[in-house]
Amino acid sequence: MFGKLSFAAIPHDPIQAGGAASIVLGVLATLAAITYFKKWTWLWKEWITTVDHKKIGVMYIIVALIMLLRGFTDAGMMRLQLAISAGNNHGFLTPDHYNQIFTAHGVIMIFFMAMPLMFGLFNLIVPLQIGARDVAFPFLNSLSFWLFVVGAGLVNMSLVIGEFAATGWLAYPPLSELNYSPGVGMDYYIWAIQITGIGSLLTGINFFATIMKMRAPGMNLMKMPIFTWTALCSNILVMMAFPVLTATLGMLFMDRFFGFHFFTSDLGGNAMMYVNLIWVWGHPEVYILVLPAFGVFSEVAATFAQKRLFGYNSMVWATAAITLLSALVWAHHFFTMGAGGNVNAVFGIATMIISIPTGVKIFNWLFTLFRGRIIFGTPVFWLIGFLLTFTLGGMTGVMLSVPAADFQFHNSMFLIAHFHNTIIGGVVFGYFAGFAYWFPKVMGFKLYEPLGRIAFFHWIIGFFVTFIPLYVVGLMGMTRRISHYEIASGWQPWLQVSMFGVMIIGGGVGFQLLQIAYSVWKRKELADTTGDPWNGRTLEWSTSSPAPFYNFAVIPQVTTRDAFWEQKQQRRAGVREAIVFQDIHMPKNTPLGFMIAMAAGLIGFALVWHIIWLALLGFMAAMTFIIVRSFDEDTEYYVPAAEVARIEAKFAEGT
Amino acid sequence: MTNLSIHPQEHGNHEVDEKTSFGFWIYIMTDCLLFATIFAVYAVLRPSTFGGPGPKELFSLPYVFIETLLLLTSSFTFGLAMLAQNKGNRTQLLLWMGITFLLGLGFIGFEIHEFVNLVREGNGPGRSAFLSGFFGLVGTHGLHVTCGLIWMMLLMVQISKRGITPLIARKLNSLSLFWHFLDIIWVFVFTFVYLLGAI
Amino acid sequence: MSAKHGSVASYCIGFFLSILLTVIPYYFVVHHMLGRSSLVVAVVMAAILQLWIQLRFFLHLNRGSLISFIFTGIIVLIIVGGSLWIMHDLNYYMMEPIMNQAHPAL
Repeated sequence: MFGKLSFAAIPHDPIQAGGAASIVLGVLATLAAITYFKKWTWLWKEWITTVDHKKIGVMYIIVALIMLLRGFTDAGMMRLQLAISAGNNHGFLTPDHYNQIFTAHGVIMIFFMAMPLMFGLFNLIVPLQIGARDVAFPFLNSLSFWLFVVGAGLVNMSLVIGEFAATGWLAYPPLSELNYSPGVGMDYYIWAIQITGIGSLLTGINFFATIMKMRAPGMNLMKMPIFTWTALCSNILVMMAFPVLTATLGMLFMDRFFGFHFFTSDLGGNAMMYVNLIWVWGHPEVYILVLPAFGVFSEVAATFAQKRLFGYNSMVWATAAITLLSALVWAHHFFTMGAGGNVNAVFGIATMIISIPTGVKIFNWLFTLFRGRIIFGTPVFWLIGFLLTFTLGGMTGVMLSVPAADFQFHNSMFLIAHFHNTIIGGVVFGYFAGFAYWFPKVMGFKLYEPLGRIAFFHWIIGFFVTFIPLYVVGLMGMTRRISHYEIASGWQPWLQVSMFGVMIIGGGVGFQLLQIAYSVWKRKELADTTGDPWNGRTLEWSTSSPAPFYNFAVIPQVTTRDAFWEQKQQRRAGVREAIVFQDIHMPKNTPLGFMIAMAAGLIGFALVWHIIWLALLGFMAAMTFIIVRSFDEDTEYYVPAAEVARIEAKFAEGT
Repeated sequence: MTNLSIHPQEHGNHEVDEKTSFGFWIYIMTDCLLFATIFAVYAVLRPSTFGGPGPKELFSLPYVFIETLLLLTSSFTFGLAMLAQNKGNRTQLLLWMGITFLLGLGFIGFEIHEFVNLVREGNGPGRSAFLSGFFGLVGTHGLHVTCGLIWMMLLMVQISKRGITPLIARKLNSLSLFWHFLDIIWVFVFTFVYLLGAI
Repeated sequence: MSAKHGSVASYCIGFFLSILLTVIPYYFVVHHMLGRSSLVVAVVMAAILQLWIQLRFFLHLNRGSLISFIFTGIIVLIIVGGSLWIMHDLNYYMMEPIMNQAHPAL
């Protein structure tokens, strides 16, 4: 009746039970608070059913930050375990639990922290930067977000009922096949990622169409803000890579659920094909994450150096080159799997080549800062931190790209240090910079600067203290994914230093949370009344903070790059645009994105536990909701010109 | 051009058509990549029959030839349906869609029959990696066709209730892209799985 | 892609050519009309030709959709071609006898 589900699924190991309890209590406390403050109607009308890209962006970021806490806790547990688990001491985590932790850490950080932070920034900023009123497909946008939430929900549910995969974040077969992973952990993994993956693919299509078709008149591609360029290229990679992930995990599912033999170790299956395909997705994925971070840094450099971006054209070409090259390097993730010298050499060389356009970008940022009148806001600290940190990570990447050398480095802690170096230095610092930079635009008040700087210094010092020792132990021979080692290896002192580093990073996270809380408390003093707190250059700064729900009362006419900067020059020269308000066509809110996603979640949960009737029910529900949406013709409305005029007048008053 | 400051009623349909059309075409491109992945897996696993039967033993070319003609003809009749839609002729549109539907249903019927027979003989997907690849590739295509048929049915209901509105025209355009695309994928399945399998 | 959908004539031409490009390779294969490798080439070429026919006459591929189609095509070639190359290499070194691995000691 309930498939494999039984009370035995609730964890009894104290640490897992503790984790489960905290999730359950957190959810209950949140539900209780919403009820106490009587916010259910508001939540439903303003947030759950919204198709407004700005609100969807806020929700992405909130969930991402919550998942950051869970992923970071996983990291802390691993560092603590490794600091103490030497010789006779076996630490506080069993090997199987440790395996689940590093798997969850990777899955959460990539799929449920970095991707949503990125999609959040796309949602918040891209339509505003191109002078559009919304994304191309607002309903799909809502659906994509809720599919992501369902995926995150499944990952968290696995901690409460059942277990998670213990295979590493990419779940290689044969370990991930049924005979070696008979539990439900792998199935949670598959469905969490498949469901959020569909959301990601839809978002990729959505933003590609938005950027290609909805730019303001006069904004041709080479006049777009550079963040929008990187968003465009990132979304192209999303569309290129995610179908491969969906197909590959789909085949793994068929192996596990229907007894197929795509990747099994018997009956002719080929596990190496899985490894190959998963990296066809996996490599573009990291460029999906880092390109928009590069875009953020381009915006920050220009704005805070108070001069236009150096080498815009070469930035665009470098971004395009990285995009194309990222499709040609995937085999460098499995140099040691056994291909011959020719294959490895080609992919090794391609990997080295990709460092060239990246280097071009670094020089462009440096030349943008050079001879600028730099204002040292928090985003600039993240930028400088990135330039130092990411460059180091890139260099160790080139070391890894030499196949012969990689036979020593592969799957050692050197590799772990390298990719954290580039991901934290590049992706994380970039999105933190974007968060600080665009926070006033979204919330209407700035973040309190001093706490931002303290947080940054904790992060960068903490990063080096955590990861330089990992480079060292990697060179000393320590492999990844082990939960215990011998004292004679000499690794322990380094791992203890590393643990201390994680505590410093934890301090950084703490200061970031404190900064948000304090800034909310002091929001009146920190208010942004002009909409343009940084003397920005691009169109998002031309709206109020926060922007009105329709973004632009009048769609701007664009003539140059840095369109808003140009507008400001024109205004100073006394040129005034004639403003005629029109009725604005907007999409209506709808609960169906949320409902379809919930049905998908039900299907996922049911398939995890092999509760077939429930899966069918979920499927019927999803189909019904899709059909209901399809038959609904009343999906848009008009905002009267008078209403628009009223809102704009209020903004003008405050400026 | 996205200049929305002209008369509100006019802007709506054309731009929405263009965006939707573009967006759906791009989705079709991603679906091509999905199929490419499964094709690649089929190509790699084709020799792995694990001592069991391979393409030569299992596939009946005449049978698949008829199946192919059914789907190809349905792609043609859908084209005729779109011409009827262009002319605003609701009856003709529904007629051609109905024929397309029946041909597509016939295709699926043939495919299910083939699958059921294979499973009955003990040559289901669990028999070998080759058969997993076969069922995975052809089955995924069949699932897509089935979704297309359901979508077609829903649209026929909407057309008979509301006529050919701009919104429905937009949806028909998307379905037409989908349906033609599925026939193109089938050309490759027919060629690489069945024809090359028999050589 | 929502441009005018052509005419009855163009759909008929596309249909007729597609049938031809289906019947001919089918006939060739069933009656072993060519040697093995020539047959493979002929059949694949017929498929590619039929792809082009259907793109032109059924899907009305125009300049806008052509760019994304070519891009997708390149990616397909990279993914499928690259994967087949890699897997072939892996198969040679990892799945077949040790003699394949050139080493003086073996």
